[in-house]
Amino acid sequence: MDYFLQQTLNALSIGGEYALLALGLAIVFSVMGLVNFAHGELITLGGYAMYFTLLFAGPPVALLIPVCILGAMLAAVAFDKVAFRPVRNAPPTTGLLTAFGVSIIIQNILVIFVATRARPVPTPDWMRGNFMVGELSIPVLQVLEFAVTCLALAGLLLLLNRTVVGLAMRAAAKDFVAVRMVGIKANRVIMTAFAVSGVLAGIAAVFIISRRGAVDPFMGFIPLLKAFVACVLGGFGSLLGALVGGIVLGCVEVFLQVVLPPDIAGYRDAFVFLLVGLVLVLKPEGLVGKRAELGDKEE
Amino acid sequence: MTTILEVRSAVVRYGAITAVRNVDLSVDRGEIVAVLGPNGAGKTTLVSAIAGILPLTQGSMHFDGQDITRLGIEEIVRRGMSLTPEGRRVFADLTVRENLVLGGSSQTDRALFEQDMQRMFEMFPILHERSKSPAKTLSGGEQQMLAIARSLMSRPRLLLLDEPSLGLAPRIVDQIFRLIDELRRDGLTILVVEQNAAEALAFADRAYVLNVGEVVYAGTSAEVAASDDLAEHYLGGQLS
Amino acid sequence: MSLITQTAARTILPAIVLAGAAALVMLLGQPFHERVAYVFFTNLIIVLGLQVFMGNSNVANLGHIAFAGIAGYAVAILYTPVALKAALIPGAPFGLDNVALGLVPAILVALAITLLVALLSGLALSRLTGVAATIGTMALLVIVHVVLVNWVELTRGPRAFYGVPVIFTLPWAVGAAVIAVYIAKLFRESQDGIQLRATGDNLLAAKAMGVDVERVRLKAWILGAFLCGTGGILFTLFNGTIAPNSFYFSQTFLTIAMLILGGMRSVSGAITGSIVVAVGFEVFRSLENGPVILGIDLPEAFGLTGFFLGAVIVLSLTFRPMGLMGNDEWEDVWPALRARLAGRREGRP
Repeated sequence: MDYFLQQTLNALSIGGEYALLALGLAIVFSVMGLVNFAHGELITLGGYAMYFTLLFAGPPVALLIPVCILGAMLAAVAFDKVAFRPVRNAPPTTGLLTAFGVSIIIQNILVIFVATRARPVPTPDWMRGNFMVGELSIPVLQVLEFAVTCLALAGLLLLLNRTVVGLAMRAAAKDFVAVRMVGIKANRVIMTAFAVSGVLAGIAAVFIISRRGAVDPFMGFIPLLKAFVACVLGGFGSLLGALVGGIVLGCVEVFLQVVLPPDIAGYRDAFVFLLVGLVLVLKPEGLVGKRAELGDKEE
Repeated sequence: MTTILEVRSAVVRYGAITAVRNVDLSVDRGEIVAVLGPNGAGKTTLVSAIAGILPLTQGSMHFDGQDITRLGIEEIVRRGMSLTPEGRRVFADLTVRENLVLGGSSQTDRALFEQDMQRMFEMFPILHERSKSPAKTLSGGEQQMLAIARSLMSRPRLLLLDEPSLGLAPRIVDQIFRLIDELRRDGLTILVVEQNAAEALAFADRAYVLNVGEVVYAGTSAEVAASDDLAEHYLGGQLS
Repeated sequence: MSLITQTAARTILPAIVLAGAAALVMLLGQPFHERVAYVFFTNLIIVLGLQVFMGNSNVANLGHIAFAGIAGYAVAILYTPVALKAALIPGAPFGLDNVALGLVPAILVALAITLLVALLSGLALSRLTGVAATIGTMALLVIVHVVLVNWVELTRGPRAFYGVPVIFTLPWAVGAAVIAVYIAKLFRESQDGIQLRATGDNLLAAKAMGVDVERVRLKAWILGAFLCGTGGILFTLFNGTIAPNSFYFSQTFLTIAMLILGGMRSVSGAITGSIVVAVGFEVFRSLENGPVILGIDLPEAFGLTGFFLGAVIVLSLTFRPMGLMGNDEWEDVWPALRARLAGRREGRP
């Protein structure tokens, strides 16, 4: 029973992390049809923002958390302004490949100017360790991760339902020109979408880095793949789908880890991507999506 | 009367196709001006260019004496010209109220915004009734009202209506046209694109007749309605 | 003239350019240059394979390197002598540590395995369009990589598989590349190629005209996999050592950058892009090591080559989204230019 509870919490915290990343991808995709292949680099840049702040300013470790989130947000907005604006009206494939290029550029700039080797980034003490509930020993990080994911989701819901720019983002997912017809600036909607995706990636980055204890130029890649998988599982571009897809992916991964015999556990990611292929072919609208939601921004 | 909109020698090209050729058009304050013509005459292209959705290939546009030729859609709305597009294009997943909130998003004064919202609900009681429903659950006529209300929320001085009667039942069409008349009496200037020439001429002050992208006739509604020639060639037969 | 001879005629110019370049390298270059040139030709074949599917269908493909990996590993496992395999992969599945095929059978079987995987994956992927297709192809790459890394008994896992006999030399690679150019050109101008390009330009219109989208996509996918697999085999039987990371994202970046810069719509675009990026890549690789230029001792800067590839992709798509060649083949450039000049003389735009 304890084991089951522990694995459930594990699945929820990992799933929450994937959901945060997938939501960021989905928001940008739903608003402007861009598959942001450089989304993983937001995590990386958030991490390096922590590393450099620590190197040059040496603030209390807890202060690094907002630095990471802010760093990822600014990076996302900068990507939009510098790289994605020129290809905004190009076909989706062009945007995807451009983002692919941006991702390579960021990774290699870090290799050139910092190093390929990982650099340590500390985590506040209170985020580590376990606490006891009755007989159960529970890792603080996992509970915190799940709680923060819920909070971030609540914030996102408020933004999307209670603010003009949030409403505009929802409306833009279907008809961007009509949003501009009511006088809302396209740049503002898109910039907000990027900023939101950056904040969500930054929050995820805090937890990713506290698990690894270090940053390196290529650390964003695996989380990006996971976010892709989550988006596909849920139906690409659907926000609810990204959330559900993230949680489902977390559960599937933990489940496979538990049930797969050790000698084939290494193939876990192959199974996950096979699942992606199956979903794409058999149910392209995703597990929760309606077909129209996928088709809207394509062709 | 003063001119509120002045379009000179407007040309719109898509690639090799010229959809609007050398159109001159003006709208005076307080007028209702109709743009008529058969399918494919370039009416929607013209009004889209005026609203800033399509760029003019050549020519110029002035609104309230200011050059708006190169402005984007958003800026043109903020200057006081609002388009209710063909096919309504309401935000389907958003509620009626949320649609209106976005319509009034350029209004910075909270009190005025609430006042406008109230006014829309008085003008369109059905929208008040359905204010919490997603726009996609509304009927065609209700969606058209919502689209017009959404445009009005930005307090335009010139309202552009593109095919407001398209695809609606005759009874609803009458209702929409009565509404347009009311809006004019409130002092709004309106440029309306219509295929339904007879109905439009009944309430418009002046009309432009477009064919293959060119203005073939411009005059008062009475003059246009009286011309059998225009009726026969461009406006689908009987007008009165 | 039939399409076959016509295409052969249109392959003469690239054949002369490629063979000429190789001859120059063999006459004037160091052995090191010959190595670089050989790898260039294997990359060119892979880029051509990428062009056959991605360029004609306009579906971004991030999975093509998987086929190079499958073919490369298959030929390595089948062709490496038994004595060496006893040390590398003792007790390999299917008794593969006890058999070694001859060169030609090994290559044929490796290609057959590649084509089988291409057929199976293609049946699924040809149904997808746009972003979904791209993610699907990426899923294929990840799956193949995970299998190569984890099937330790067969592939040695993440460790290098070494000791594959070195068979091929530069002339072989040139010959294969010229044939690949011919195949890619033939496909582009064939009925299927034209239909596939129509689906790339306007999917709905092509469907409305009765194009069987899935069938032409599948054909291109399999043909592309064949070329990529050939590239992988040539690389393996020259390099003698391979590892899963020889066939993963860095190789994907490199070949995608080549195709995008040159222009994926034409075969000449694939060739042009491969040449320009390969030259740039070598320049940046030498800069990475911190050389002394004009008396200035530059610092080491690892990552410059990767940065170069990323910059090539972003700058091409921003400033020249159709690539250097656009829709043109080399032989179209001169007539097009002449027509434009003639038009200008007569006062037409």
